[in-house]
Amino acid sequence: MTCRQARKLLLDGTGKNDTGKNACATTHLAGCEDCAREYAAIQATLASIQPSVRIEASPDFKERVMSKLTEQEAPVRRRLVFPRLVFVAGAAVLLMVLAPLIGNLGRGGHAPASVVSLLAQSAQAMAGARSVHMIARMRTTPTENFEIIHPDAGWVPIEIWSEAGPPARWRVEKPGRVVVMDGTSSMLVVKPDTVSRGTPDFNYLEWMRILLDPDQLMEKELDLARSGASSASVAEEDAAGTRHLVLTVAFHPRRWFSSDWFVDRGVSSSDHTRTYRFDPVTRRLEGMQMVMHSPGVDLPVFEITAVRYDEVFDHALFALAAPEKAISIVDPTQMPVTGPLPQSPKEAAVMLFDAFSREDWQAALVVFPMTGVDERFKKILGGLQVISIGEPFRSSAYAGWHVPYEVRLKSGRVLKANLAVRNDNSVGRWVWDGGL
Amino acid sequence: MEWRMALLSGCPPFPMETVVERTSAQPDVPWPQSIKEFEALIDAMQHRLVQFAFCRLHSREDAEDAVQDVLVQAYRDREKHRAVANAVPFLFRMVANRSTDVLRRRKHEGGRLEDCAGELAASGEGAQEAAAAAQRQRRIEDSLQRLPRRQSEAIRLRVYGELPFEAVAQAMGCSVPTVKSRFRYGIQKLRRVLKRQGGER
Repeated sequence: MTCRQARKLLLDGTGKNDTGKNACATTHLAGCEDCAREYAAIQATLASIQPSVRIEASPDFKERVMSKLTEQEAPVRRRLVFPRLVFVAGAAVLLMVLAPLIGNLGRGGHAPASVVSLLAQSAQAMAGARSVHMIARMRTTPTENFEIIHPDAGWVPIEIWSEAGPPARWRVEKPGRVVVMDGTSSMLVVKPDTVSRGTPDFNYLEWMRILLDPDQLMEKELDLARSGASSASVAEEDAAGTRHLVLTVAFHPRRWFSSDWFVDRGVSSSDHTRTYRFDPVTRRLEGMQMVMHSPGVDLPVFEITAVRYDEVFDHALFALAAPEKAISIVDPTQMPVTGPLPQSPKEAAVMLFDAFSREDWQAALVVFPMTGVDERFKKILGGLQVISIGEPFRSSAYAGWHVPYEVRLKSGRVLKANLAVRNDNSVGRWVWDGGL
Repeated sequence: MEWRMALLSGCPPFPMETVVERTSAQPDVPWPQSIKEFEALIDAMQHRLVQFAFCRLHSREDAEDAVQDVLVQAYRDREKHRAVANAVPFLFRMVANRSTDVLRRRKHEGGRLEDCAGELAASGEGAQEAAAAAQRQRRIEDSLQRLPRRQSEAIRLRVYGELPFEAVAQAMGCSVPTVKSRFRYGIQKLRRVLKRQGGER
């Protein structure tokens, strides 16, 4: 029996009633350290997802089911077919009307076999990588989060290191922002001195998180292609005498609101084409380019220029020290309550700008979820004059609100942008989330 | 069956043997065509179905509601399914679908899973244990949600539904080899996901 046969048999659990095969698998396991280790790891995985207690139905469960059946059985039998037909016809008409507004949602889900095959092979090929190191670049600003594109900005270098566990560790860095997960917790540093600490799976990386697991990325693409949420094609290309497999994925995100601020600003909210380049032999990812499509403009906004597998990383890469006198991001439940709290996104914006205009930094902390206000913020925003604060609006899948504002800074410069505030925290408190 | 490496590595001696024992030799249960058969079906399946729904919903109340809806629906549709030889896979599939609806509604309404655990903890004796189980299950479910949908579904039906692969295949509407590969790849990916979350568990 080969290792492959034994592992398949053991995982499937099909050997239970087949003593011949079962004995072979056991014998194989006893003599093959690799398979035994693999099997122990599978056992550990299965054990780790077993429910810790068995939940049973309540003693009166059956009685309740029978009561419900008694209540419902007769009326259901008499339910008319006509309203159902009206509903189905109405839904069909509605779908036809809405189809242009909901992107790819209405398309069929039959990905070409070449796409399915390449994505499945690639996912499998990369699943065994011990580490992945990506060199990338994005049109954004150095301190901006990892989601937002600035089409007018230049390229900002980004580097991603990801090491399989145990414990898994990773680091993602660009000039103004670095996130490290050291196996037990994650830490974000926005240079020079703002720090946030979170659990290992806290999402500091937004859409970029999936790049930590290229095999998961391919699985995701496979799911999108199969469901019809993207359209993909495969081609062979020769670049400088080297053959590559190139997968092109066109993505049209769902439109959430009629005025969608995130369109052409957020990766997940913008029409774009993702082009992946694979090694034709190993099927591993070699590079990627994302081209954003705005009316009349096709602009490359993100590129992975190199991918290296199975490098050995220095331990120090995953150790990140907080800067001295760091200003930490505070959980909304821990923020001070020194007076009335804002009750709406607009009130939050008004209170924050009022505090800035009076240079009352303690008052700003009612909305600003930090242990203090950064000196650069104080210098730039202190003493500002509010010209206008508009009506809040929502955009894409962002959980918060945008509040349009126009302020005149002490320098005389007029700043016109959208303040992002949100209250999707456990205490429902309105806090600043960006846009300054 | 003795698994040498499992004992050496300190793993609890649960996995495959137990799954196989639980999932093998399950008799076929025909679709109930009378109240008597329906009551027998409830007696036979209620705990397994509620446990299965709980693993996804982390709330006993929601799990019982979901299973109750499914059972009533199953009886109402009995004519349609008269020819079904074994109702069990279909019931699990219906509970899985119903659970997805509940989760979708919760998301839409902004409900939080922690609240469910909190409700359990506040509701009396034994509830704290259920609340802890709900919290743990929520973490597991977060990991499963990072898998491709079909793979996580195969794992849930196999591990939480304790169904044999043949029944999982029936529930998912695909062949047994396909469901085995989904389960196998799903477990491999789950290992990586769990590792990424801070160490092999």
